[in-house]
Amino acid sequence: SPSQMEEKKKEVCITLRPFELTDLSDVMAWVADDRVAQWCRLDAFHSREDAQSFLESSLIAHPWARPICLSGRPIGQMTFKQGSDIERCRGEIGYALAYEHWGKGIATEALKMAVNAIFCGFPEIQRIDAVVIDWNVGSQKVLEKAGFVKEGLLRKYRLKKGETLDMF
Amino acid sequence: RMAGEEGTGELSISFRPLEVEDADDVMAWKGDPRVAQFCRWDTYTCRDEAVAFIQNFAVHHEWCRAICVAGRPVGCISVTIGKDEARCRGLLKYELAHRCWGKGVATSAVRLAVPAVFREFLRLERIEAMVIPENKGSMRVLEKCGFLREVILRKYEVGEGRLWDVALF
Repeated sequence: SPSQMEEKKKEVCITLRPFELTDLSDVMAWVADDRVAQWCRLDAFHSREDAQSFLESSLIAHPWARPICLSGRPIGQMTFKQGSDIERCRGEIGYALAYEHWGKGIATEALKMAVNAIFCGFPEIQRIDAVVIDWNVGSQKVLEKAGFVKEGLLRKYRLKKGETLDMF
Repeated sequence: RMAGEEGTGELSISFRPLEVEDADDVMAWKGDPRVAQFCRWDTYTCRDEAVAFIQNFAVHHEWCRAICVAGRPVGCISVTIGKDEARCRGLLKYELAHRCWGKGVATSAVRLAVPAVFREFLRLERIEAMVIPENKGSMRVLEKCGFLREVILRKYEVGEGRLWDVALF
């Protein structure tokens, strides 16, 4: 029903707090899951030690990484990396969401919020881009719904498990 | 034509590493605003900047060569290999003294460089180049060398108080 949908939407929030070491158990829900990682730049971290190392070095230490929180609990991540020198007017956004929360519009909402936060928080940023594997149609739809425009296909752009991928 | 040379009948080019002694020749293009504007770096105003460029960029770079005509450096060309998941791709950059524009020199340089880099870096599967669309000469160089224009990246760079679109080949 419409009011239940509204309730669900109200629960979706990105906190502006940075990641914390105590988030480790929640973070493992998506970081240790191959079903999530297969779509992402990095491979899954299956052990608690590897996940902790990733949390410390890549999320907590990140210039801009935020948990996507549902009712205050991290269920995914949003990251933004600003370009340097002449590319400081642009940056790349990336996200990952725990598998059980796919298909509910959460990533789209989180992305819209993150885009607003980034344009507000980074006054030099005039462009946000994202790179997605060509067969990741779900993520392409998320980006389009959040207002991104598909620009072009980059062939053999990244390596994943020893193979090159074409990416939008 | 010697091995390692390439070019039109009029101008054949060769590659060698840049050396600090080349600083004056380097200033001929680094100090030229007509070159700087298309390359999006600030025009060099003194020889020390050329020396610093040679020492800090060219000498230690994984693949950087002086483009030489009749043995004299008239420009330079480099391919920067990506890290980690980006190590399958390399970014091609080249810059050439204005007096050598329109003579096929850049085309020869790119034609010579691309297979050399693919031979040297075995994991490399993609070479890309970024050029501002206003730089029609460079767009033609890349097209002549078999590069495909994939996309125009809008508002990708900032310089001289404005944003620039970049064509990615």
